Amino acid sequence: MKSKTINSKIVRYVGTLAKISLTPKEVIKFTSQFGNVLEFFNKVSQLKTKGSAGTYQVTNINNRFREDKIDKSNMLTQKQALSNAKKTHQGYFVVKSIFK
Amino acid sequence: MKQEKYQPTIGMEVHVELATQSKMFCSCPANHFRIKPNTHTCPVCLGLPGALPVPNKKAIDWTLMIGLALNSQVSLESKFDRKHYFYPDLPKGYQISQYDEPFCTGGDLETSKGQVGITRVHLEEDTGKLVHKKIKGKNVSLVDFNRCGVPLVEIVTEPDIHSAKQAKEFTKTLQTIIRYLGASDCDMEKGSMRLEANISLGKDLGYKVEIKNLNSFRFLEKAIIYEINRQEKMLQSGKTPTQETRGWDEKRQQTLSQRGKETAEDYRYFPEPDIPPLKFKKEQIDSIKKSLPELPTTKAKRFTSEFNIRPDYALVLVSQQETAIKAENLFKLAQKEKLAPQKVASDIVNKKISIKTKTPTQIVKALKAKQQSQVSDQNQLTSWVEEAIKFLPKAAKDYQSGKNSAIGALMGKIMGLSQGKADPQAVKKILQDKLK
Amino acid sequence: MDLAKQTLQETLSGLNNKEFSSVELVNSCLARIKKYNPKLNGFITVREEEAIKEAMLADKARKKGEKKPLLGIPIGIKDNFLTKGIRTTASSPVLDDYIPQYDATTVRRLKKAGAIIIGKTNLDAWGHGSSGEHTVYGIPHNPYAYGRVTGGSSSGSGASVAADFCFMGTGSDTGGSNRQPGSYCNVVGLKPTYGRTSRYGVIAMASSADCIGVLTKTIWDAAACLTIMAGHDPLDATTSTSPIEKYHSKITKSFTGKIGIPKEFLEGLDKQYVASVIKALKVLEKKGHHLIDISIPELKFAYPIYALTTFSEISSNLARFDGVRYGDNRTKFQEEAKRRIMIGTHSLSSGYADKYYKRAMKGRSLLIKRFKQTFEKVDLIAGPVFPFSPFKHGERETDPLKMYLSDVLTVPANLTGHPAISVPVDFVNNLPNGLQLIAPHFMESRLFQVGYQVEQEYQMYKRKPTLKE
Repeated sequence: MKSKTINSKIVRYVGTLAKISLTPKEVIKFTSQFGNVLEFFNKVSQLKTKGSAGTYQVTNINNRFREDKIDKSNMLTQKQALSNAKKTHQGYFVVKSIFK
Repeated sequence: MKQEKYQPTIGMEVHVELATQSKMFCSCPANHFRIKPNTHTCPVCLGLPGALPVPNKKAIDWTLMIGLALNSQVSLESKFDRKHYFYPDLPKGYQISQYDEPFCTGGDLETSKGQVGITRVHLEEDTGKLVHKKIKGKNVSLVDFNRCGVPLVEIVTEPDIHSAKQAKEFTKTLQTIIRYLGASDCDMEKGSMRLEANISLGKDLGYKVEIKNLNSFRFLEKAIIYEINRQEKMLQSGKTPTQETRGWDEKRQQTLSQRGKETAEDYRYFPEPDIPPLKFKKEQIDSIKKSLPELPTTKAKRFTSEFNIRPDYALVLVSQQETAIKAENLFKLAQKEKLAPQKVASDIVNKKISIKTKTPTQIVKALKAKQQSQVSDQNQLTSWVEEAIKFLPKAAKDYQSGKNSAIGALMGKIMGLSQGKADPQAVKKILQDKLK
Repeated sequence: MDLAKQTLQETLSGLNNKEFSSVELVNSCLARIKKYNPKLNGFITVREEEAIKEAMLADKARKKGEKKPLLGIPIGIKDNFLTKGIRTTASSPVLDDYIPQYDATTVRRLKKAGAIIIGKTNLDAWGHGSSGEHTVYGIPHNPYAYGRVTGGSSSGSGASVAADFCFMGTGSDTGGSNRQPGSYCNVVGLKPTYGRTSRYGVIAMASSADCIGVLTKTIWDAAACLTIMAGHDPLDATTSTSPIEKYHSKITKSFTGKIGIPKEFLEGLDKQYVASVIKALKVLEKKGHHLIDISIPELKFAYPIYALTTFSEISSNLARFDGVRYGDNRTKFQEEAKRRIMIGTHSLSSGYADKYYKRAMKGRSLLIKRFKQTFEKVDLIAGPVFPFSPFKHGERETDPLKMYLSDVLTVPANLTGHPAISVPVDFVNNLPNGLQLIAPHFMESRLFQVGYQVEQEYQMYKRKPTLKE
């Protein structure tokens, strides 16, 4: 059953948005899986949510701040900061040039 | 006179780095100027797995302060949101910013060419810095996260600016206001104040060009002028400028297209679940409002109304808070000593006295001495005037035939003859009468 | 007597009474791990030398009179908790070689209490799963039924505690990940109130639902660990400032009240399975509780609300894994992670966010409201943990939706933030089973007290598995 909600174009676009590279096989697999999954998830549309504010915080707390103070105890040394990078150069992280 | 059809419609986006001690969401030092790379980081600002943000209270207070100084409405309920995009200087893959519930909305800032509306003032975190280098023949980008997480206030204006001059004036005034508040040093060279302009011509022509890389007031003016010209030429030849992002190229003295984007970025904003919502009380807001210092435009107006200072001189004097305070003390003292504050102001602006190196008492003393030694005897003044005219017959003739600026040379000669003691205003009148 | 087979409470008593040393204790655990872990796959990383060294130091400290609450006790840390200097993989090839530069707050608190990290336990990569099968470090076996799943995502902690490899395993519960392995491995699985414990340093899955807890052999053990782990953390803005209790000192307090059993929790389940849960509830009834049939219609929507919310947050929380500062690049994400990232990204994307993410957020408010109303009528909500018994490896893998629906009974408590626990009850067809109890916010003591009553009746902690080499 072909789902109206998802097609391979959408799957490929989502892949680029999410920076997830997909093989053609994966595109096909995900397209069919997502269709079923999203149709099921779309059950939420049956809920009468009009006028309801969304919840993204279940704690009912507000106004959690910190004072504007420097605390060195959580800081990392340069060595620690770089310790897990595959490529570093004179204290910097190295990435492929952002210019083409 | 530009046609209404092609009237420049300019909106600005200004980013200001707040001068807090620590970063926005962690306790690392916010200072990153000339610091060794990646030495001011922690799990939070480096985006390590498991790290969580905790907001800096002062940064929030200062954002409200900036909004209130711009007559914005402060929302009593607010939140942070995640703004998603991938870029090497954005360690979490999202920036914690504000989307639909910013701290401040609305507001305005006066310029001599009209009021500029403020759309919103919100708070977010800064990204890291990229440096481009060639290592072993390969082009790479180097990333430093020292700046990552520094609090950044974003101020967005309505498209109410209509010229490069006005844009410059707006930005300068905004800079002065924020400096008065002590919230940032707004140093464009250091990058603690960054500008972007959205430019289009006419109303509703369906496009908007974003100009970036405006690192100085000069670049801002030049870029806007160039862009207005470029767009006008295109429209006149029947083409609509492309909606795009361009950058000012100082070498080539033009704006150049930066990114060819067909679609706008989908930032997938959603409320930041790691930070509980913020709720302010009206008393809190009122208290911040009360604590605002007198702002530059208000101070300038007061200089005019209280001390009779010329409005344009007043604006110059308020552009630096320290100078303004000194100037006011000077005016008060001058009044006491029966010296005209407006003349004192004129002398300061025209750099005849240095307000930076001398105290108000010293300055008033010097001016009084000058006044006393000043010659106002009509006969003496007249004789100096006649001598100057004899000495510079050409200048006198030029002035008589309409060249007003020629009076400068004559005045200069008179002041020289009198060793600076001639009362300039009185002598000028005599000179002008003589040359009628 | 194998020292490793004791409960945490018994072990502490033994250590304090100088019946044995921490070194002997750690060696006993290590011997079991060496023998049985290669097949069981409870641990990904084992710290043999370091644990023995730390045990020696603990024994010295104890001799000097140091009174740390968990001094010298070997524990397992789920491998999505950052442990400074100890490899942390999240069970994914993306982090195969990651050595964290800092400790999670929970880890710091446990270390401060004197505990010894004997190893990092296996999990469904990134917390994505409820069977334990989504790992590249060997799929854990159910110690009571090899070839069957342990439940997940805190699969390794569940298996390791059940197999007596350690006296406690930490866990993170986002949709049931502590309760599910608890139920399938015959151990206690605890999910405290959201914000009761700190998430700082635990690799985020779904920030608004992740809840840090434990898997232990008994209720007392779980309560004692919570006492150490709970409390406000200035590094986690979502933690609560409400006062913590000495939970372990209150578990014997006899509490009886109204236990609500939502009919939606029992619909469509395996009959034998339901019977086992009802039997446990009847035990509580005999002890003085009132069983009340209730209905929470919104429960039918709990899973879609959960999935849309958490998958969206997952897609966001995994955006930081770009291979620049740590780990490998995004091509190393395995299938389940890719799937959730993709669905989550789609759910937040322009044109779909209103339909999916925002709708789910609103639905969550409705569910929370309903739970609040329910707790005005009852003192606890009860039901099963899984809709079915521990299944065979690979049985539910092929259809993602089928996989996801294992979570329908546990996700509600993650959406509402309520504390919940799985307490071992009678086996069904020789397979472990757990009773789920859900309490009002910050009433973990109630869970422990009622759980203790169940535990006293069944004493399932005495039923040890037969392990295979």
